Amino acid sequence: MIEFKHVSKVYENGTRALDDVNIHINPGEFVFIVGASGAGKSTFLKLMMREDVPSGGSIQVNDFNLGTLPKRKIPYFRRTMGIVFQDFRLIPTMTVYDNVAFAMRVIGTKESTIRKRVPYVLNLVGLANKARNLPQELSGGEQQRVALARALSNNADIIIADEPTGNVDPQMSLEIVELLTRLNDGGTTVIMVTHAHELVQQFDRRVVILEHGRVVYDGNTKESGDMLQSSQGHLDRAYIDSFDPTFAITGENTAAALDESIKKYGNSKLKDTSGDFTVYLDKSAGSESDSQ
Amino acid sequence: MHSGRIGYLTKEGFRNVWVNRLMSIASVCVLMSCLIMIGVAFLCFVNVQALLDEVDDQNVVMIFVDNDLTPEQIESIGNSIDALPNIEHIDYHSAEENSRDFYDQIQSELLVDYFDDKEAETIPASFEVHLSDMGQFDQTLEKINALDNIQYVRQSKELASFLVTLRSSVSYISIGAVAMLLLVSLFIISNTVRITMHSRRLEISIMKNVGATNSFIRWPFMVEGMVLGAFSGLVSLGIVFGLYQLILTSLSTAFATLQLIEPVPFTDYWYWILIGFEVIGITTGGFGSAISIRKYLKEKAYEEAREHHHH
Repeated sequence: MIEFKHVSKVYENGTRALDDVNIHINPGEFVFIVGASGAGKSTFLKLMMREDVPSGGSIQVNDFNLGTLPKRKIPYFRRTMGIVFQDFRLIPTMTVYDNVAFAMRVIGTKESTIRKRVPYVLNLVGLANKARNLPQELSGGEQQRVALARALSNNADIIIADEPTGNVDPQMSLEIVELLTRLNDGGTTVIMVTHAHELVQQFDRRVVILEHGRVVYDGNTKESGDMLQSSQGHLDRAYIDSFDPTFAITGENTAAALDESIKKYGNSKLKDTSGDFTVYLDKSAGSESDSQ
Repeated sequence: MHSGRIGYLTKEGFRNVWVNRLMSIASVCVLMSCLIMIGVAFLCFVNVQALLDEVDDQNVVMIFVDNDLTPEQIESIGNSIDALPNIEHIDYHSAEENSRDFYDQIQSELLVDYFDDKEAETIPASFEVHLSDMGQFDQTLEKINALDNIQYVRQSKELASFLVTLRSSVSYISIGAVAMLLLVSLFIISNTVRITMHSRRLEISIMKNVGATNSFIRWPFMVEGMVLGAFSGLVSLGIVFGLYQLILTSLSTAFATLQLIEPVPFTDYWYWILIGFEVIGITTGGFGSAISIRKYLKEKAYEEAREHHHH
């Protein structure tokens, strides 16, 4: 069970990453967390893994109240969840087998248990025959499956996948999500953070859409309609990532600020989100303002 | 802790040395250069001390007693000198001995004609006094001068005080040099380990993510540091030995012509150097790692805490 109650997070620089977030996830659920970059997905994950603490509200994960969890208990808390990252985070000098075994060894698992468990989880992700290979000898999809096997190695009942398909081709992405759903069918809670809405739409699961730190949709993927689309905007992602000019205009003098930003950035699109404006910039607009 | 875990963690430490061999080589080189400098400084110190001991030994006080004393009187003077503090030992030279020495010394010289037997008779018996502490030269000399039936005391006060100053300067310089080198090696080692740690942040982040405790993260790094330290100590001993032999061989003719004392043989001190090197190597390696990893883990925690605290 994962429960976020009125959780907010404001960073030192004033960025309000999460704003009154309420999410309840039952054991055995599969949830996609979707949002554009800067929507608060990473912060959501960091708080859930107790890498960071919220500025307000409370978080409960299984039997752990993260607000009162002492520092020395954090390692034991982390053992209840398996984490998969966009960049795989495999140790390049270790074989596939050792990468998985490493996660078990560093929490003091007995070698006899490791010898049984590693082949089992590698088989689960379909990589039993690659145990002796080094990570760089595998494709991106295979590397992500090794990371998944590692996340499974310690019998975690929650799997957290942070953009697991970000560095993987579309066909492999689909396979990875299918693998996650199979694990979920076996009873593991899966939380997958992604911006790949096309991928999400292919699965009939729960989806939580974040925008500017707030939950704007929480329901089934099939009923999300164009919420899922618009959460992304229709802009070139690479462009947004490289310039990051997407911003919100709020509060007083909204009209003046809008005028100024349109003057500055030229052809930009506006989207009204609950009273505030989000400015999405056209790719061409960016290059124009650059050349000036 | 489970013994199997200790085994694993230790094995992991050894494995790290090999896997991160470039970094290991760098650490070993840094530590070795410091140890070698410490070793060279130590050997210089030992040799200078030996040289000073030798010179000290030759800086004797010669007490010539009055002529015409009975053997009993001479013996009683000897006993009084022996009873004084700060006397290492005394040698008695009879009047006959002294005359013979005197003629032996001047025989080949032109002066021989100017001395006849009469004058030889005037050479008195003497006591050659070796002091244990040159620092108390003045006090001891004062007591010697106060004794009865003494004709003349030959001594070199300037040499004595010079030797005392030299000895203490050499000690201070050596201690200072070794202390400085120790500090430098600790500083460099902990920095090297921090670089290692930085290059291994992936491993550390994975360990933290899967729930490894801080002590579990720390131990392999400490073992790694200690292994590198122990290894550096051994190799440094070999290098210092080689260097020392090289210097001795190339300077052997110089030693012979200058009629200086024999340099201290390495075999007299190798175990002290080995123990010193291993203690320094293992502690700087182990502690350097421990300090760095503690700092590293704290900094991470601090970053998190700071972000939170600010609000």
